[in-house]
Amino acid sequence: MSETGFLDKSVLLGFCFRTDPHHALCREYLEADKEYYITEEIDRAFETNRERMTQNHSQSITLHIKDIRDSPHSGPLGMDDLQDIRENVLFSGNNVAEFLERWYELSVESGITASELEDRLRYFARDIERQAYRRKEEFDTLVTMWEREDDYPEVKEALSVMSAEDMFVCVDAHDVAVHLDSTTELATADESDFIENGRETLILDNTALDEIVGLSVTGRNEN
Amino acid sequence: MTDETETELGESEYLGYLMLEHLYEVDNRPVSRSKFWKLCCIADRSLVEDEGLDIGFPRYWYKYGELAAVHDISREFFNAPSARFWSGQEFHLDREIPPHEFDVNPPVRETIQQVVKRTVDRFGKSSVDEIKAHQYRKQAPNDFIESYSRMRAQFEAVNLNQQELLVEHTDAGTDGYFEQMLDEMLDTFPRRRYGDVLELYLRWDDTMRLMLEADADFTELHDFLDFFIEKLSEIVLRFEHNSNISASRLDAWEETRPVSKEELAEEISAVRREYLLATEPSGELEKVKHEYDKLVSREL
Repeated sequence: MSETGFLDKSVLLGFCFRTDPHHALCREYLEADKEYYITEEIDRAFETNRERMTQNHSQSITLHIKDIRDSPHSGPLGMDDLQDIRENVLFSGNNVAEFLERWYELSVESGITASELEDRLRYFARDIERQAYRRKEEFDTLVTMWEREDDYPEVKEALSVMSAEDMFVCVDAHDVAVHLDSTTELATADESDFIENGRETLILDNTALDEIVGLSVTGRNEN
Repeated sequence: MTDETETELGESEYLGYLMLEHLYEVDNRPVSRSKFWKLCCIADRSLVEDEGLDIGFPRYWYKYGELAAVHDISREFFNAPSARFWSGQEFHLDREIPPHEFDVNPPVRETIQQVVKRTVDRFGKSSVDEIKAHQYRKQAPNDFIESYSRMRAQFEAVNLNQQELLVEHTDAGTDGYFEQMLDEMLDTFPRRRYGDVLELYLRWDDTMRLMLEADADFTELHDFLDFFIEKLSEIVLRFEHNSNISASRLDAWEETRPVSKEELAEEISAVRREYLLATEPSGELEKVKHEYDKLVSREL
């Protein structure tokens, strides 16, 4: 086990967005006794994803609320009303239509009034955004921002078969390993990019990293 | 913006000149910029709607009422120094201008005179707030604009110390009353015509409700409403509800439209983040957490 962990974007996404067991794995890793680092670039990439996804999900739900208000449905809703809302009011082009369908199926019963349904949908949309904000706040208390000090053209050259984004993650992680007097590992929930198909050997052979740790549930099950 | 002030005195300038002259006769004191231009808009609207006469006066809807596109009207007939008794400008006639200096034919001249006199008789002694209230009650282009304008007026009637409405009809309590007003806005929002701002509006609406549920300060709610209406005006209202606005003016507005959208999105996100972090989860997401995980996995 290394003393320092450099985190790929996938760990941040897993911690902030995913539910258990993905979230639990990332949390367990981040609550161990290590120093954790990310870069501004990774943080920015996360923010872009957060905004794109959570706002999209939340807005799709508020749009569905507006569609319900514009429909003839009001007061207590019977089975037929709910059926109609799911089939006709819930626009199939809505980003989260399939997911909302499932929510109706699992948690909405006949007799609910249109305004109760609207309130619950609002709470639902807010929960999605709130969860990402809260977890990011928590995440920020667990990690330190790292700014790369050197350029390492030879490392970049050696890792040039990787995508530019993944290559820079490795170069940043290498910089941490070079400058800190501790063993350093790269943690990722994206094994296909950093571990599988010979990537792990390629990275470890050409950087000062001591280890690469996979945190995806799929990866864990296969091990 | 380019200065497009025309030097000649035409029909719009004649209307403005007569308005200042009559206002002085009625009130015998300087008039504020806001009151002057609002009354010009009301008079022009009356020319169009009651007399069937379009003199090309440029006006557009902005926030809670109609405004004149003042840069497209000559400044040659008025002076507008800093006001002595309020913040802003006070308007005076620049000089006595003989009628023949205005390029206006006699029948039009007579109609403008009648309408300006009628407007000043009715509103000459009214305050700007009373004139604004008249505009949104009688001239709002649609029910949505009327709804948000009433909500703004109610916020201004709130006793900020008590956080309660000072007016009647509060059976549902002050918060309940504002929720009803948000409902009215939601039900009357012209989703096709204002489609460009639909998603931002829905996000703003839910954030207002979240703030009300979290007992937000009424001043903050009022400011958040005002900011939204300002940006809505810049993104949609002044394009959808205007008359005689020049193509170059519309182009200049068009250029600032993306910036206004960005500013609105950022402000909503900042306020929303603050209130989401200050309130507890409802448990609705928890009911379908595995399904949400699948959705996220697909999108990442």
